[in-house]
Amino acid sequence: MSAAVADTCFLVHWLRFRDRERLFEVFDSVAVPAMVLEEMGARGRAMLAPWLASRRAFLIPRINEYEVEALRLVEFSRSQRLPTLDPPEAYCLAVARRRGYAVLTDNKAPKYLVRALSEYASVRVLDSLDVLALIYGSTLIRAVRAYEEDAGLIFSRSRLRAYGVEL
Amino acid sequence: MESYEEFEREARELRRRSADWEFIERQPEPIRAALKVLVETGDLWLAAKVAGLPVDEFDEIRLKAKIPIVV
Repeated sequence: MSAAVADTCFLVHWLRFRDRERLFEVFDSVAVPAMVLEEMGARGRAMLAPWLASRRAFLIPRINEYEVEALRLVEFSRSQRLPTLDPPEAYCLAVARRRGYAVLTDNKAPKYLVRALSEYASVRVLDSLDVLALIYGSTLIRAVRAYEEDAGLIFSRSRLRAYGVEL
Repeated sequence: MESYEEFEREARELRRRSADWEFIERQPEPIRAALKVLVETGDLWLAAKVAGLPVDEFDEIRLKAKIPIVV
């Protein structure tokens, strides 16, 4: 197992999931950039607090080197007409590449960026469906239903089919 | 990986169809504008920035507006 760095949107949704603790069956720990924590309100921070207290989640300070790299990634994605990459996702990618972490995000842009930029090819980008598949394997369909209900999101039917799930 | 354009076109249609437009139109600015940004782009972070709210607080409004996040 290893560490992953999570962006805001992933955390906001995953923390609503009834089986959120099972994330640690896949990762030892989850890195939370300070800029991600700053974007969470009272409810999100309160839900994240037990993970921080138990040291399963840890904060990553703002580091100028990562911020400069994040801006480069945002500019690259714009110049290549890739899906819009938001600064927190870009920061997570910069951290992940340097520290060998996986990236947890529900946005598409980081997946496209690591395909387009060779020095990021080794960075593993997972969204909530990928993580659920790792945790639940053959019982994924029940987890998908529960996650959609708890988090208020919808998984693309074509992506579900790729995982062998027909709702 | 599926075509991003195809994915986003289908996701946008789903957001437009599912959204509670009466709820959205009742919201004060900049919440109303932010919800419309979310419907059009699917970008929760950007929409929360437009709203001037933390992402999780804006996401609670997103749920009331019945705008799905499509992954």
